Amino acid sequence: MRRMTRMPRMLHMPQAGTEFLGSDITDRRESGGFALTTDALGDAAILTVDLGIFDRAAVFKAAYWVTDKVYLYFLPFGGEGDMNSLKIEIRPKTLGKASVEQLARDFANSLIDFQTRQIVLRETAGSRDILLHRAFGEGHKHLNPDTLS
Amino acid sequence: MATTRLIDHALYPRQAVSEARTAYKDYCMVRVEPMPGNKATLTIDVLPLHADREREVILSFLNFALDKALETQLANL
Repeated sequence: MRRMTRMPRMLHMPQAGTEFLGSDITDRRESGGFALTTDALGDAAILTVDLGIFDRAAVFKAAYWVTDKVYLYFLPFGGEGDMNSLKIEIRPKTLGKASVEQLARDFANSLIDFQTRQIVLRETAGSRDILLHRAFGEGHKHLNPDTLS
Repeated sequence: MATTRLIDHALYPRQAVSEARTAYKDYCMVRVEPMPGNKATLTIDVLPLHADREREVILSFLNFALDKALETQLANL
């Protein structure tokens, strides 16, 4: 699959004044499409993912894929009924070994990969079903051992 | 030092949080306080025996809860 080198536009910076509940942030700055914060647990990057552009399935799969490499935390949805964007906090497993900025960029790329797969899955669903039907449909001829050649 | 995190049960089903609490009961004590809007505050207290690994315990607990939540979410999609 062709790798994308630019940060996706749909990963935008949280608006000024956004409160990240439950975290006593001591420093906050913004870089390349995400917010970088520091609190008692160290550095973190916070991505805001537009769920109008990315499927939930893609976001969940991308997150599941990377939890063995980074620490992730999904911040609560915003106000009542506002489930259009999701904020994801990313932290390195080991302090000082990896830049949170790089981890965030890697996660963003992974998100694009999984979203592309979702699109391909949707576009090829019909063909896939036909192929599976043809492949396994032959099986009914062999339900009776007497018909086996 | 206790760490608090606000979670949304639309993302973290109660069962996922419960499983994480059980899995990490030897490492930390987690209090769950229900909040309006299907949310809850988690207060995570690392047990003294593991105080030197506080960051690892807290973040691993949250990762475990998220893993369980994602398994549920993906199964329901």
